[in-house]
Amino acid sequence: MIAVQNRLKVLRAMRDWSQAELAGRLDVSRQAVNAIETGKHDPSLPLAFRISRLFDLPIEEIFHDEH
Amino acid sequence: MTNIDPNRSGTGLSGSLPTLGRVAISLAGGIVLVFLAATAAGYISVMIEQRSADARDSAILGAIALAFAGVAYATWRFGQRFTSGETISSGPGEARTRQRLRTQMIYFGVALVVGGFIGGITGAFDQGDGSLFGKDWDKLSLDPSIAILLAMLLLVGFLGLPLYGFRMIDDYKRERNLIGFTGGCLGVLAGFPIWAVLHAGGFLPAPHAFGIFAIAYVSMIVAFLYARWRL
Repeated sequence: MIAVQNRLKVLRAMRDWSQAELAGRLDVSRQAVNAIETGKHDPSLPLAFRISRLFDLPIEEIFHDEH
Repeated sequence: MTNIDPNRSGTGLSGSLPTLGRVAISLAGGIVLVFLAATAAGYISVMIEQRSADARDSAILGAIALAFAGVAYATWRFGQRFTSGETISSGPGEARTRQRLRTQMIYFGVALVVGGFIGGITGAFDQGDGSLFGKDWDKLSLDPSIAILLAMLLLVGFLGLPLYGFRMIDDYKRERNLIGFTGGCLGVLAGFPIWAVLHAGGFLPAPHAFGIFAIAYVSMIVAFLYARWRL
């Protein structure tokens, strides 16, 4: 299984958002944001696109695998 | 089981108001919880004194336990909403989250009412000596119309509400819930034959319907809790 890593925590910190605030903007639970940030959960493709739009970055600049 | 868990939805409170709000909610919740606990303790002490307990007692205690859990959860969640003075700007995502929060509160209310009705009606109209959620469920005797009403409520409670709840949670929570339901299913698939062979070997009484139901329920909760805290 390939672990998918992400820069969500960094991007969130750059905007000075809390996990709850980011969760609100993405319309998911705070726990979901926390799980994604800590690598416990990979977001669905629709959610990945929402994250991409929110930060105005391509998906591959937010999420990347080990390869 | 759906574990609906609303976000803090940016009330815009600042300064001392969050602290006051938290204190007020904690105080009110604490008073209600103490009242419910005292009521349950009093009821149990009367049951012990009279050395009798029937389906109605179970239903009443079940309703009190449900109410206790509901109030405890609500106190915890609403208390959390006051722990931060942060203001979340309003946008489509936040609006949907707030709408979802309102729907979730209605969901909890409906679930509580349905559960209370099932427990209350079963306790009040049982013409036998059984209990719906007990080993002696086959001694339960109900008027046909009451039985149909209860069947419909159970269908709502155990099928309609969970399925509807799935629509209100995000991918992450849906995944955890699916792990929970998978645990319940595997618990029954493995539990029944194990119980049967242990019965054949003289270790356990014969498998019964409520036992299988309990295995499913407990397995589901254990799997859900495992997914929540360990995965």
